[in-house]
Amino acid sequence: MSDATLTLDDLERDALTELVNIGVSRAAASLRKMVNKQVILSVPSVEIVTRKSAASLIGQRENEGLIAVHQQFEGPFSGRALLIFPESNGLSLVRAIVGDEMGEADLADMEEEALAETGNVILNGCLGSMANMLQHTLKMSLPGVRRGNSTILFDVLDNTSDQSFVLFLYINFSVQDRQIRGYIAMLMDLPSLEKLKKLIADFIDRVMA
Amino acid sequence: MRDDIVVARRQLELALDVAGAPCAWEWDIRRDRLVADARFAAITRQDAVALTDGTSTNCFFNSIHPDDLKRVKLAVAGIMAGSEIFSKDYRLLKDDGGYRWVHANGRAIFDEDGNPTMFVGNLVDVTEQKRITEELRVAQTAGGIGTFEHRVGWATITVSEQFCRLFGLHPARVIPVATLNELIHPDDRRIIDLSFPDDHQDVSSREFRIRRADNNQERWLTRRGEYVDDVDSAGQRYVGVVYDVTDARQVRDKLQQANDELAGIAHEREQFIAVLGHDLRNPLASMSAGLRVISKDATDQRTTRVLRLMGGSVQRMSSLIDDLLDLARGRLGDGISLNITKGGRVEPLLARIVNEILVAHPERLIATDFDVHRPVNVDHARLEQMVSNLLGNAITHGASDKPITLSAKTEGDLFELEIRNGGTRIPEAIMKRLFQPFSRGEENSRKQGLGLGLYIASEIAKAHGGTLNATSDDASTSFIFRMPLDCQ
Repeated sequence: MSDATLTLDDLERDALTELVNIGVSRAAASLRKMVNKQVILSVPSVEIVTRKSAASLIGQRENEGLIAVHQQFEGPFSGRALLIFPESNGLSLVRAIVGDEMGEADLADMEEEALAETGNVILNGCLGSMANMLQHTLKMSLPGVRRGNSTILFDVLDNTSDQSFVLFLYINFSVQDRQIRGYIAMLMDLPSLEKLKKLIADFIDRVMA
Repeated sequence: MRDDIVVARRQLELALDVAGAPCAWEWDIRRDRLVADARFAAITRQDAVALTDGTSTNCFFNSIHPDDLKRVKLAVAGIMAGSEIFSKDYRLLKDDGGYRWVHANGRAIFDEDGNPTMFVGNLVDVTEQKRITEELRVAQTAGGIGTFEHRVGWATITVSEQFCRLFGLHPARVIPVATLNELIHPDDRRIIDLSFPDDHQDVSSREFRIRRADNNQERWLTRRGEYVDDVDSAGQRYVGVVYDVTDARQVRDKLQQANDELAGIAHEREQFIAVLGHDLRNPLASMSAGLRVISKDATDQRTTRVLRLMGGSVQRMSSLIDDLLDLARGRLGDGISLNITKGGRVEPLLARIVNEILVAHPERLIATDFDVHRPVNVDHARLEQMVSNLLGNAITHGASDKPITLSAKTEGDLFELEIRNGGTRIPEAIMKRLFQPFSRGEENSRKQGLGLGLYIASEIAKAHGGTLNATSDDASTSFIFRMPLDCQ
């Protein structure tokens, strides 16, 4: 793989950021409807890093365990999308969505299922609108819920010789009043990146036409 | 509208534009028409009247710096495709061929099906802000100062690049407060305490320890901050700075340690002097007594002369030991103890001291000037010790062809005694250490004693609740003893 394929120029980066913006706006709109609270988003970050660095980008900010809803996606490009929270936020989020009527025990019972459904809506909205923009469809797996630190969530292998790069896109979000915050992250394999670059170029051409 | 009113309004809009007022736009996506105010028209070089009714968006794109055009078009395309928030900095061309930086903030409005119908927002000139931001960034990096901003009730904090660097974090604009708190030492106060998210944070200036995220190193940081009104939310934001004080603390700790060590050494030395002085007194007293006994029986001239010399030496040793003991008392104990004579007169005492000195130095001239109207309660022996010492110094160091003056006066509630001699200026370096123990002028240092004279004189002054000061210029040097009259 040549170096050129590993980099995005400023315009490609802007275009990708805009794609993520579109996706995340959709995701935030879904989340806002679900929790009925203000949700703020950070400007998306787009980095090409090793899986390990991606994990440390999130991991060094998070000392408690994380909980993530993740979905694999396949199509012209493939990878994994994740909705990540600190583990202690999981219940608060479910509580924010289902309202205050439900009892503590019932809430705990349905935590994983509720998170998976929430994640599914948010991530589908995000990836779906991105795919739309690129005029392609993506096949998405069923959502799964994982707990652990960021290295587990990002499948970082102990094998240090694994220096493969991934495209890492993430944003922070926080929900006012509930002290709920987290990340929407995407990891893409680099062979996908080459395809993605082509798709971005087409996207830019369409926009500029 | 009358032409002159149109012109006046346009001028007003331009003035507002220069002042950095935002200009608003509304983009009807379905009709593809851009409606905007006159300031927007001016800043984007469009016809104000036409814009009031709505124009094609092409005119707007024509006003954008070519290097930024693609970025803006991309972001606009994002809005058309469902992005909710538009936030972009870009350059607008000016008539003079230059450009200005603007910041555009916009928001899409969607219909029920989630399709964008309107794109509204405003544009503000940020050229000056860009320049200042750049200067600030350079200043933050050069000064090692990171900045942060926190809104009441939020779990995230907005920070600067340098802030992240100080904590060893990857640069990011927004980080969770919990991330920061995890890096702060558990015994130290947090920057933002989330236990009371709706309350104001403690904004006092504080030092705290952190464990850097990148290398686990412990560092000391200081934070300072204050609450400012938040323009966006009508609430308040906590805005502050952090900087690294680890090195400063290390220097401070080392200095403290060195000071403690020095104080310890000095204390030991003074104790040693006290013990030595005390123990030397007894054998010296025996020698003195022995000398007196032998002197009675001595018959031949040679023996008498040697015994007299020996007596002089014993006398001198005894006075050196007295000085040492005075030093030790001054340094270790409560200072020099006094035996005050109440209501006594000091002029006869001073006259006697002058006479004794003149007997030993008949070639010198000592002028006296007494103006003492009130009794001065002093320890006479100690005053004599001080004055003989000062006069002795004046004889040794002063110009031999210039008279020495001793003046004493009472003025108000003060007793003041001055001894002045002619001669050259005492160098600054020596002046600084003049009243320190073991300080001696550079020349003739072998001839002098231990260098305790002025130290003891100033201790005597202190014991009387007074001061001893020295001034020196090119013509003369003067020592002035002042003490309050009413304190004893």
